[in-house]
Amino acid sequence: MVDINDPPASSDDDPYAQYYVVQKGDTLSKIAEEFYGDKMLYPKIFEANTDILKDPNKIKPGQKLRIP
Amino acid sequence: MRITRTSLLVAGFAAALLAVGCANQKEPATKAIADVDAALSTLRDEASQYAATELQSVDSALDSLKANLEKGDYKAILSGAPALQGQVEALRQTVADKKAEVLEAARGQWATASSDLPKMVGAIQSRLDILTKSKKLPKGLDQATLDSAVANFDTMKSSWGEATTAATSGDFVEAMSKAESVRAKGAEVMAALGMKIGG
Repeated sequence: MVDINDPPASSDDDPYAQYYVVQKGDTLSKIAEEFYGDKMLYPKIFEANTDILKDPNKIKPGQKLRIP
Repeated sequence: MRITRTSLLVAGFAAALLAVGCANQKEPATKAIADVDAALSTLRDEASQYAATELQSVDSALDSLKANLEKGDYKAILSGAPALQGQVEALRQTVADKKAEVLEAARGQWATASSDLPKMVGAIQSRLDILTKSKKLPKGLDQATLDSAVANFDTMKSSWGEATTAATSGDFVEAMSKAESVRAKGAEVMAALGMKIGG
């Protein structure tokens, strides 16, 4: 059975793709700030993960997000 | 022992024949060495790259033959030159075989690199596009490091262009040499940007 929360691609397929596993209390803004220094850039992360995220305000711990 | 006029004449005639004989052999002996030298010089660079041990052996044999020239032993040169010429031809074949082997290996490596490295370029391009739009930089990354990463990425893309051009022309050895420099530069840029390979 395919879990919709599976990562979009295995890091084995693309060793250069960057991933982050969502922790408790994370938001896309917080993750954007950590990786890009600017929380307003969170849509970049959302757009790269539309296959597993339907709403940028709803992320769950354990989700493996691609960080472009 | 009594030396007669006749025996002196015979000895003189023999010496003259020997001198003429030697003089007759000097030119072909010198040419034989020059021919081997010329044949070897056409493959010396590649031989030093692909068959250094075999080249050393041929060079050593050539040195021995040249020593005979200095000693005036032209006969030894004329009898040894064909075998040495054969060694040079064998060396030429060894170089061709090893070159083909290296080219085939590089062709295989290129198949992997040409699929793998564009992903690396893409990942870095994507991160740089975002970071250059960011109003602030993330912790651990300052403007100078970002500027340097951008410059290195430009070098990387340029090298990648050269690699693909070399591969298109069939020079997979050169293509792989460039691809390795792209991989090294890419790893450097990724590390500077806080990105991890296999990350």
